[in-house]
Amino acid sequence: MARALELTSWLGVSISHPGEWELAIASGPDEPGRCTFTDRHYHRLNIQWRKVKQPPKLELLLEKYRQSDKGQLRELSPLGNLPAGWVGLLRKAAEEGVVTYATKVFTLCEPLLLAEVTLVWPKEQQRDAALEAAILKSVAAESSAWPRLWQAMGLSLDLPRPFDLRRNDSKVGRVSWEFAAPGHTIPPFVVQRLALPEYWIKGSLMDWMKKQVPAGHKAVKEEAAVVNGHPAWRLISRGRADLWSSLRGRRLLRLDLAWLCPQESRVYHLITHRTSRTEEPALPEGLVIRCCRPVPQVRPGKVRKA
Amino acid sequence: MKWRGQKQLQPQPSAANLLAAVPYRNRAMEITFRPDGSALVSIPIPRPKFLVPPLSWILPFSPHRRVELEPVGAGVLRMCDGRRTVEAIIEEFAADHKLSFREAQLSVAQFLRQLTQRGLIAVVGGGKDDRG
Repeated sequence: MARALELTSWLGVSISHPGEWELAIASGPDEPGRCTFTDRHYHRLNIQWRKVKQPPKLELLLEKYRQSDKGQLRELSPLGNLPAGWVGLLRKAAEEGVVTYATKVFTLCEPLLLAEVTLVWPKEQQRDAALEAAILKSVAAESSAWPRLWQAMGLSLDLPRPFDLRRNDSKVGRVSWEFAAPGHTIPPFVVQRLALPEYWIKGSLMDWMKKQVPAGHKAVKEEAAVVNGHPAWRLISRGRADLWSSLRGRRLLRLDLAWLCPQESRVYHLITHRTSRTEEPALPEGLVIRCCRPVPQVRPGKVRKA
Repeated sequence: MKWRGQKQLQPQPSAANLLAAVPYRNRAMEITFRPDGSALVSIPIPRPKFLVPPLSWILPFSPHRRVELEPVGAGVLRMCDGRRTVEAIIEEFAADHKLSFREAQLSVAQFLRQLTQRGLIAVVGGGKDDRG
């Protein structure tokens, strides 16, 4: 039976994986691309990617991997029946289980992208070649199409041109991504997704949002809105801009937009700024944030009540 | 060669062992669960030996330390009944709050560590040998 896979799209690379393998490590915007997924006990899937000028010889990469593993008493064998473009090796070790290493150059994107995928099959579990092939087949590099999909850590959005991730400040149960456009003409914006709203939000959502506004800001406008069919709140606050802008009579205006998705039990919070005299800040056109997505179903593990 | 005072490195328990461990509540503590879901925990603390008259006349001493838990934390403490494993607590917590296993695991593990440091619970076992 084919397993339902979940899509993760991060920094321009997307990969599908079983839902119970969760993203544990995600690289930052200025780092070589990397995503590591874990199950309850082990790192199960690691994908690394980097831009290359010339397509490297994959056989040489495999040989390098083979050499690095030399003398460790493991059985290495070439991996067959892989999706188009992938080459790989299978590493077997009696105590550790099986590790699959596969690599591919994506030539349809500019610049070229070299992706390396490592899959871990612990000794308690049988290697699932069909799942392995499905995961490798799902790996895709970014195309030039806009808007671009960002989907990871439970958050899913379509990002319009020319924004890109500037900062990932995510913590457990509090995903926070900041997107910015090159240059300083278009203001950046932040998207946050918070778990456990009953813990964070004691009063109303508007009261909570007012507390999020930095000191020195004064709320100037509060209004109700509807986002994805949910009641939402918009708050415009005004703060002091930098000296040059202040001399020209401009103020720093901040927009906060928040709503609670009851199906996910998450609060979505969007923030953007604008330095202006009267014009209100606005979120970029074409930005789509999806909520009401399926809630992760935690299935009981092997160890139950003692 | 081992230096004097050097700590011997202990083998780190695996993730599977940690999940199979069972948290037990401190039997000496008193818990009052409130109607709003929060809890007030009172843990007896031993009187320090130096706290004798006349020092004890000046320094106030409370024989109990009180810890107030929010409804979310009180729910986790309620699940620490000596029967549920850490994994079972994480599963229940994740299901109750619509979290993924990893989100619940990191939150619950951190909270259980705090409860252990404050003497509210003790986490026992987890290794295959310990489970018998």
